Amino acid sequence: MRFEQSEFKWLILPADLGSLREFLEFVVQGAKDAEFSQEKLWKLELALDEALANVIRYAYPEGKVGTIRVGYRSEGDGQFCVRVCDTGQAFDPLSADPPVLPPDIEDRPIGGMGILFMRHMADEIGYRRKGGINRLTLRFLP
Amino acid sequence: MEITSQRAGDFVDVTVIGRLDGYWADHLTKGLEDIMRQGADRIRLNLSGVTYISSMGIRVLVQFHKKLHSIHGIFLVSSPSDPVKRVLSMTGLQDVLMPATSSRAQAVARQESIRRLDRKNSTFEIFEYGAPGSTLKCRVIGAPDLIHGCRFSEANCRTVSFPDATVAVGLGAFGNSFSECSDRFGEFLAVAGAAAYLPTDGSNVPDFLLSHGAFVPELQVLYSVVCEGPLALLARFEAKQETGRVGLTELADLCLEVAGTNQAGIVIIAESAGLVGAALRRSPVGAGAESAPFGHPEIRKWLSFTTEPSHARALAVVAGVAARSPDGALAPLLRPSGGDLALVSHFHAAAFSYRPLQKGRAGSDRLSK
Repeated sequence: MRFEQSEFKWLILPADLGSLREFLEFVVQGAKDAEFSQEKLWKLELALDEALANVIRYAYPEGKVGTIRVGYRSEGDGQFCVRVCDTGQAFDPLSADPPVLPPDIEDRPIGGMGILFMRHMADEIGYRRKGGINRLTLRFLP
Repeated sequence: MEITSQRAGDFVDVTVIGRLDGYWADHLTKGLEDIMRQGADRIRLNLSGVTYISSMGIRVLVQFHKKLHSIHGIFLVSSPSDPVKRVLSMTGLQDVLMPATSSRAQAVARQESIRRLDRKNSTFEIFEYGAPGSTLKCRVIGAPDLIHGCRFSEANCRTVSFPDATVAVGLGAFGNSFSECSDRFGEFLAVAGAAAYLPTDGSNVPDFLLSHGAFVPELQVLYSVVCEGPLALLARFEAKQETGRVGLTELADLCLEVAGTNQAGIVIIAESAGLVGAALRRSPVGAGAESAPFGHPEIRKWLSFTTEPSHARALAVVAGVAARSPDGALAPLLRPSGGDLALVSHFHAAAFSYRPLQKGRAGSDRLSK
């Protein structure tokens, strides 16, 4: 279901892995329309992928079918803003400690790198929880 | 996503084409697990056709590097596409998964002397394991014949310890005395300082004890065959792809052949294509019925049979003895193995959740884990 709200374009889909590709294509197409470079598209896709995967895997308790609302807008100064909203449990990715990457792979945890990816790829990250809604904002500079 | 694989010497080259994201990561995990189950312990993942990789894809790479490292195998990435190369670099994995030269692989090339055998359904690599000329000494404890009529009593019960260098199967139970165990004696096996048994008290839940420090597993034993000493040979085997499985009798026959003996104590640790067998349902103590447990119709009350192969794809530990003929001290507990090979044997098996096995000589260390 697509609809316009303010200047954002939005897409709402179930919070499951089957929705991941559609969300990514929706936002990447928007970024292409905004004439993002291949390099920027890659960073955008990786950051959003990690943000969405995090919500899909952890936001809702098992058995509960939640939804995710993803929106984007081009901002006048060449910036591109993506917003990921869900009503699952609160999680501020900015509050999590940056993952430590021991040089020896054997000492590394198997997971936990999603937040590193998100922080590395997005130029700005903002998080707000209000009225039971998590709102994660990823901003990409020109 | 498209995954193809082919053998290249010691390595299996796996080529992946597509996106390695959260949606497809499980697909690759399953593909790599299947390849490992087929015996590969050196995997080279060609990611030249991967257009995108997320942290979920990285997770798979780290996971399989760890899995293979734990069995002294090798997991490498080759020809990564530009997006993959950049992500590997960002996560500090480039040097680990893509060593500058193949020196690492060469450095760990197997130096072991191996004798290879090719059989109808399987291939074998034979390694010298114990000291040259070492022999396993097998003895029977108790009177296995008392199983006919289930005539075991307190006089037939003894306390036996099963330390590291012991392979044993029999009937017994964990406990301090015969009276404590009398209503739950069942089949047990003991290997490398670990003992497991299946109680016959109706719980149908196996129990086990592991050596730790000075502690050595101990059972109240009705009868047992106990083999002590170093195992002489290690035979690593793989079922051929055409058949996908190799039978217990074929394995036992090979063990007797390579050991050049008519009797052998054998421990097998393998991925199961299916276990077929029977287990006692009741404790074989003072039954007072002559035809128990093997006569009809009592057999139904006394034994449970696998109606079809069970525990497929599990890790099975099988221990016991096999012989070319039912002679000597082991005779009372040897049973015909069936099939074309005229063997007699007595094996017990325990099933565990699957985990990969290390190749080569050191693979036997896994027994104690």
